[in-house]
Amino acid sequence: MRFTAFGVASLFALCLTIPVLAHHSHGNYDVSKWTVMEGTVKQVIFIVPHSIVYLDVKDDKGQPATWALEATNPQGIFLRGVKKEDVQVGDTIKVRCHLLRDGGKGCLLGFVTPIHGDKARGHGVEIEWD
Amino acid sequence: MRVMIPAALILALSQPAIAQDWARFVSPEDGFSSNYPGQPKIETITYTSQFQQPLPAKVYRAADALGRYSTTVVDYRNIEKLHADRAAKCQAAKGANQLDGDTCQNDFRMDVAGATDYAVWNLIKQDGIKLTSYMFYFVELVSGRLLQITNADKSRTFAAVHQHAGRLYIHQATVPSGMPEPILFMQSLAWADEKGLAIRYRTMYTEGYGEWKFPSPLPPHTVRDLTTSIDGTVIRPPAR
Repeated sequence: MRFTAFGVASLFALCLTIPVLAHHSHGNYDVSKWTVMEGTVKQVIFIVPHSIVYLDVKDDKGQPATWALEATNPQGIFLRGVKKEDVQVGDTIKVRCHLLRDGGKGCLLGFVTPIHGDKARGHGVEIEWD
Repeated sequence: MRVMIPAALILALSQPAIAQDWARFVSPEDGFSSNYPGQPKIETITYTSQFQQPLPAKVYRAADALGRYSTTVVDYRNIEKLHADRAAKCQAAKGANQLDGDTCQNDFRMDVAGATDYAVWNLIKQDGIKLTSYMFYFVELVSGRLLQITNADKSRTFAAVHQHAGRLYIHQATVPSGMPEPILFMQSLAWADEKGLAIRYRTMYTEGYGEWKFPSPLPPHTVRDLTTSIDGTVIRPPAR
C-alpha cells in the first residue's frame, strides 16, 4: 500500500510538472506580462468553455472603454471558491491579466479582486479566474 | 442532428447588459460546437476551393448588439474524387493544348494542403484592412491560424481557420469600432464527434498528417540531382 501511495503521489507530482496545453492557443496574448486594471463590471457570462467579464475601464485620459476579459469555465472558477454573487454588474473589481498583443481591448485572466467593500462577497480577496 | 443545449444550463450571473442570450450550440453532423447569441441561422452555400472545385458548405450566423458572428464549415471529404474525375476527363480529352504536361495534373493534395492558406488569403486580400495579428493557433490541439484585423471602417474582425476531419472551418466575428473584442465567440469553438461530445487531441493535429513530432522522421522521398526529372530517371540536358 505504501508503494501504491507513493506511486499515486509520484504520478500527481509528474502531472504538476508537465505543462498542459489549454483549450486554445494563447499566442495572441502577451503572457510574459501582467497588466493590472480596475473598472466597473458591465456583465459577467459564465459559460463553457470560457467565461467572460465585460469591464468598463477608464484610460489615462479618463475616457471609458469596455474590455473583454477571458476567464476559464464556470466550474473552474467556482472550484476556487468564487460564488456567483461575488462579482455583479456595477461592482468595482481589480484584475491582473495578459493583454492582447495587438493592442485590442481584450485580456486573458488572470486574477480578479472584488473591491466593492462587501467582505461577504469576497472584497479584497484575489482569486484566480483562469 | 443538431443539439441546442438549454440556456438554463448556462450560468448567467448578471442582468443582461450588452451581450445577451448566449448559449452553446452543437452540430454533430458538422463536427463542431460554439457559443452564439441565440440559435444560429444556417445557410447552405457552395464554396469554391482554390483549384475551382465546388464544395458543399454551411454558414452558421448570429448577431447581437456587439457584433456579427459566423462559422463556415466546408466539406472537403469528396474532393479527391472531384479532382480525379477532372484529371480523368482532361486526360480523356488528351489535355487542353497537348503541349503542357501539367495540363491534367491532379491538384487534390494541393487543394487540401492549401485550404487554410486559401481561406486566410480571402480574408486578408480586401482593400483597406490592417492585419494587426496573424499567427499559428490551435483549438483542442487542432492546428490553424488566427487573424485579427482592423477594417477600413475601424470595425474589428477576428477569424480562426482550421481543418479537421475533412472539413474547413472559418470561425469569425466582426464588432463595430469601440465595442469589446469578440473573445466570447472566438474562444468558444470546439470539435464534436457524432454524438456531440467534445474531441480533445493528445498531440497536435494537422490535417493530412499523423501524430505531430519534432523533429519528425522524414517522409518517403527520393534523392536526385536537379538536372534529372522528379523521379530521377530522366536526365535533362544541361542548361545553357
